[in-house]
Amino acid sequence: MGTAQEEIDRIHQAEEDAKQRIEDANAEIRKMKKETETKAAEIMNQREIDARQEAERLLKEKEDKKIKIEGSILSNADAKVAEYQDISKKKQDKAVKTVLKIVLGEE
Amino acid sequence: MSGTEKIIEMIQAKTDEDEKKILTEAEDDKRIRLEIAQKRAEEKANEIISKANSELKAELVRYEASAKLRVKQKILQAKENIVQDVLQSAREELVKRVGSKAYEADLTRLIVDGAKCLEVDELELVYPRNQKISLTAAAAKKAIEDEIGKKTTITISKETVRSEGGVIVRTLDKERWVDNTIEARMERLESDIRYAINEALFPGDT
Repeated sequence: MGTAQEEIDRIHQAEEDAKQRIEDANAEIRKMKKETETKAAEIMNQREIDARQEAERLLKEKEDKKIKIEGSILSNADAKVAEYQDISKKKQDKAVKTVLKIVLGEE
Repeated sequence: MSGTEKIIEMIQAKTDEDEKKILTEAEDDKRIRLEIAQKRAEEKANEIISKANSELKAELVRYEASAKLRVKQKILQAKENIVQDVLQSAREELVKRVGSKAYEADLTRLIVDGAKCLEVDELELVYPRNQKISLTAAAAKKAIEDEIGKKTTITISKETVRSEGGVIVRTLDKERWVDNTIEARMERLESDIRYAINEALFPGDT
């Protein structure tokens, strides 16, 4: 057993140690908060970069999709034009005769 | 254990508890902040991708509509080319017809048509320059009277008209006339002619 002063000093030291531990813990928390903010900003930035890349990829696909749309619509049109030309070859004489009848007053 | 030991032990236990509480709260706070950041990042990303998707969709819809319009124009142009071919062939056939035997009946019909429209007793006929087959006044008179059943006087004008065929039928005072030359009839009857061509060639489309 020490003297009363020694006892008081030990208790005081224990309180100082406790205070220091709490300060250290608070310092750790501040550091942790700072790291968390940095990490949160990184998450947001990285996700935004990924999203913008995804958006760019979508816009790049646009040209391919346009070509597909145009190809599909134009091929139908080409088929329709070919069909008309084919019909006109077969029926042109009839159409010409009809015009003659109208112009010459037969109809 | 002495009283001092007990006090120190209590201080340490309390410190342990406070330290643990502080760190636990900090860990929770960290987790919540990162979750919020993750959620906001996802919201922002969705907003960016959704906007790009909407723009893409809208542009493709516009592009498709525009492509369909261009195709429609292409098809219409193809049909117009075919109609023009028919009209050109018809003009060539009409010129051939003017020189043929069948033309006399055609000319008679055009004269009678003009006479019916004008409804007068005295008429004058103006023929195209250099027309090989022309109806005489007597033949024209007979055709008109046979058709209308009314006495009519016919004069052949000394004037001529620049045309491939047909006739201008007019009153003697030249106040009223029916231009039944081929060119005038083609122009006047253009919508009927186009309709008939379309009916003959593309019956389902008219």
